[in-house]
Amino acid sequence: MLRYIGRRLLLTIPILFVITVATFTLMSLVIGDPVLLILGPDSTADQATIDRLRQQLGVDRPLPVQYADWLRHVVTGDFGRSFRSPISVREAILARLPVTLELTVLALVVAIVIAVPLGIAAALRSGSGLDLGLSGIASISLSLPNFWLGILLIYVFALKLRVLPSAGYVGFAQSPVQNVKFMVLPTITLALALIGSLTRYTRAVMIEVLEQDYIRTARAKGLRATTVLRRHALANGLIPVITVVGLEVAGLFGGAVVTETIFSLPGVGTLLTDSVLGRDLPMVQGIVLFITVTVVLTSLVVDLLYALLDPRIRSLYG
Amino acid sequence: MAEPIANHMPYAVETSIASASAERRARALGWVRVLRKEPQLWIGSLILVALIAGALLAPLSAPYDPLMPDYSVSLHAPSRAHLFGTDNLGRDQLSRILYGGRLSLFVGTCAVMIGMLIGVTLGLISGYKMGVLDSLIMRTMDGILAFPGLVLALSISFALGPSLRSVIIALAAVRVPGFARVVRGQMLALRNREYIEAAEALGARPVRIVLRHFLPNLVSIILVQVSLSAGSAIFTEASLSFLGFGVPPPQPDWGGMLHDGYVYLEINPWLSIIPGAFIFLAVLGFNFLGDGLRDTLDPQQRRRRGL
Repeated sequence: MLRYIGRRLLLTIPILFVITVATFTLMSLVIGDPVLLILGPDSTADQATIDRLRQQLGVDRPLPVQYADWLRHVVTGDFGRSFRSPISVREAILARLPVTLELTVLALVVAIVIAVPLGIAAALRSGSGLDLGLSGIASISLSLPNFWLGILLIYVFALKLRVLPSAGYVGFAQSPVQNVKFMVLPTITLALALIGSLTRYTRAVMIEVLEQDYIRTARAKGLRATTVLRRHALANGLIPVITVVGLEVAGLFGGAVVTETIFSLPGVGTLLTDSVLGRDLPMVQGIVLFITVTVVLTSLVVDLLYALLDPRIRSLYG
Repeated sequence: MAEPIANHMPYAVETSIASASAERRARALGWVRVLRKEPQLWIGSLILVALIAGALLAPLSAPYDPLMPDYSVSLHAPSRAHLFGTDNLGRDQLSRILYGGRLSLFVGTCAVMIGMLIGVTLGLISGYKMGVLDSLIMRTMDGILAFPGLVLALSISFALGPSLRSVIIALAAVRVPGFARVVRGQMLALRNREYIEAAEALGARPVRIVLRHFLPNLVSIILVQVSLSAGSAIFTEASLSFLGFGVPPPQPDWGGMLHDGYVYLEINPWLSIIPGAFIFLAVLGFNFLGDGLRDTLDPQQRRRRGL
């Protein structure tokens, strides 16, 4: 197990390296010359002043040196300060994080609770009308644009039926009931695509498991169908489903950006779109890096969890 | 010696013609059977043909100028004069949808083509060379894949500034790793085939082996990837536009129309419903086509993946 963890960690390092280089390069494309950005177009500063400013900011050094310096700060959690507000990027992200976490975790839980039973049902009756119907709905839901779904939900439930709020947020600590009301529509919006892919995946994995020899053996020795399902099929079939969570976490965060914007949820996603609009460079850089590193670390944890639950994976890596 | 050949010639030609036409008939029948067995394939194709025709024929079929305001009819619901209604400036929504399809489909297609060219090239190099270069390319692809597609596209178009070109570059960059991975994976599977070994033993140059012996066997898998990628690219393009970071006005695109119309959800919901429905149809069309192609070209996958 230790060797597996070691290998998996080693694989993560180059990915993190690529991510930081990509983010840094992208953002240095934006800057152009930060000194001119700070001075403004009408500045009459002479060359000596400009050079001095460059030196102060450290942008006169070669890019690799600047990258190393930036990385040293980022590793300690220092993402710099916002151009537009007096707070640091880290504070801003941390302040918005609870909303995004609530949204993504709720969507994930809802998706698993709905999709796994549907996938199992479709697999048990594969080829039947139920299976075809479920699989059809699953693949249609994968093409449904989340922003369109969100707008339709707002139109029906907020504007026509007036049963749920269309936008805004109340913290759970302030009023649990209000909080749930505000989260219902965003959660559905974010969960739907995940329900589609998770249903498909659960179905595929279960069909494969149900064809294994040990399932036939269990049936042949006269165990009841429910026992076979519960004791033999589910135990082995549901472990790979965990990996989907790792694969989908990137899509979940991308979806959260859109969902938060539609429903005006004060999360990291809206912070990102607002910062892009305000051309708040350190903020955009910090958020993009934060989201992506979170994605990488989540899939790392999921992989380790998978190996912990399934000895076959561990032995693959010896 | 000359006579038998002369005698055989007409016969040989005749059978080859006969077998060619029989083969053609069988192939046509095969396609009919495929279409019947793969409803996704023909539903997807049908949707796409309709959307592409609508976009291409926009100058002929659009009843109004998509950019011309007419304040006397602003925010009208669908009617006989304006089948899809009008927006806040009184512009005809049907005409804007038809012209908008041009931009949305063009941007998506361009992005996928660029992404394919770069991704397939990287995949071919990675799969053939192996070793350090392979690790370098594939770890870079892993890194790019870790970015949520929308977040990466957003950062790239932020870095390059708002323009048609930067949106296309952003969407193309997101699509590169998918192609590289698929191509490399398939090349590893093909590596130990005898004909590759034979070509190498004959001393064929690497470029020739890759282009003449690997690439033809990768076409079907690339085709599937193109179709699925086009669906994702159009979806990401619409998301960018919806968030307000897409191709700048005045040319309409579906995501941008949704972005502008969403404000009037209470007065004229059609401004949101209709553009969204077209984005949905385009994404659905490409996804169905891709899934259908994959099931047809690789029947073993069919059972595993669902549907």
